[in-house]
Amino acid sequence: VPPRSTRPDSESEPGSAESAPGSRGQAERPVSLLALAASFARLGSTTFGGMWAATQALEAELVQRTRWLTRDDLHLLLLAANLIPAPRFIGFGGLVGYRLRGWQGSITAVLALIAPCALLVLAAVALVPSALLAGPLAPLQRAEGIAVVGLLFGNAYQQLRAPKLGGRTRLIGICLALFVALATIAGMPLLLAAVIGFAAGAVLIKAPVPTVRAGKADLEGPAS
Amino acid sequence: MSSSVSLVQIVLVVLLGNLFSLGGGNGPIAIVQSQWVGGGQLAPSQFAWILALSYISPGPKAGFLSGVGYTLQGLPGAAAAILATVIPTCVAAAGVTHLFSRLRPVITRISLPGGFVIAGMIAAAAWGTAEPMNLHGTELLAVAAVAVLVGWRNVDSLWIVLGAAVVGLLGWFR
Repeated sequence: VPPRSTRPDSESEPGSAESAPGSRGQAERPVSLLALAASFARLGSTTFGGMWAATQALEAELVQRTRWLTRDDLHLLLLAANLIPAPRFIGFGGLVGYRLRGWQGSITAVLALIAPCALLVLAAVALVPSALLAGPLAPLQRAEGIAVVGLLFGNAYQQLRAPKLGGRTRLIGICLALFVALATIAGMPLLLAAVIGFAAGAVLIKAPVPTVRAGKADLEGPAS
Repeated sequence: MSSSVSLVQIVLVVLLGNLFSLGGGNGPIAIVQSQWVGGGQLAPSQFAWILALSYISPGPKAGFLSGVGYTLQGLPGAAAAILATVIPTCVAAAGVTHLFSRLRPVITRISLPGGFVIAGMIAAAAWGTAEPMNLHGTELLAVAAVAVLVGWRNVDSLWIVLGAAVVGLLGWFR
């Protein structure tokens, strides 16, 4: 796959890369993998709270500082990251990397983005022996455990209220969430409960299918 | 504990977990909790500790998978968990780039109920983590308070985890 950044806009064909996320406005010269890794490592080591919380930092780095993307590109790629079956921020990194340098760029960007958190967690887990956690640091571990349980319940609620749906559709969604949670707690395998939930949701929850164009209409808001 | 999980299993479970992140969400957390904490290969307290570390680290929280992989199979396990996140993400990024127009309506249709299903999965993961901890009255209140602060008041998880560290260290010094 040739680097997208070297491909002139005029070569875009309808139905292919033309309607792909971020296919307009790019640098003339190929982006070096080192520069790509440095940018995403910087983003991965300075942002907190996920992709949406990092949008200002993303714009500052990718639009203003490096000028690899236009603002519209950035918005479209943020939206497209929702379509990737992976944590959104990582999906976004994969999209930008692929956009700029094909497969190599994609792998470089994702690895650089995930590396700071992965290495910090790895170092902490490797350096703090489990005997210490179970012994002298047991109060710390228990306090963190309680915080994480609360965080997960809070995250579940946030996830529940995120889709901008009203009335009956929201009620059906809440019932689906309750079904998945209660069925799993009652002993049903999580995957089975989730698959049933997805299947029931696809039948019961209808949303207007958006018209897709590579234009401003795509950028009005995130697909939930 | 670690020898019962192979590298192939780590790759497969992480792959599966990422599939349940469609449209955003903590799919890997729920799947890891269900498969390895529920299965007894990863202690609930260790799982919570690794998650807490990822909450106070910058960047994508999926970095917690390196800690899970390391706990289960050492450095090869950590590498397997990270690669199982990176490679499929890149493949999907290429697919989405080329098929954006066709994929978007279909995936929007799936991801809409997906948000609710993932909410249920995360709630089940929270329950599954809490149950073996045998939380008592005050601790249950603390869980409820954190859930309210995060779910309703949008308090950053970083502050929650740092606050818990302070409380835990106070308990340690007493």
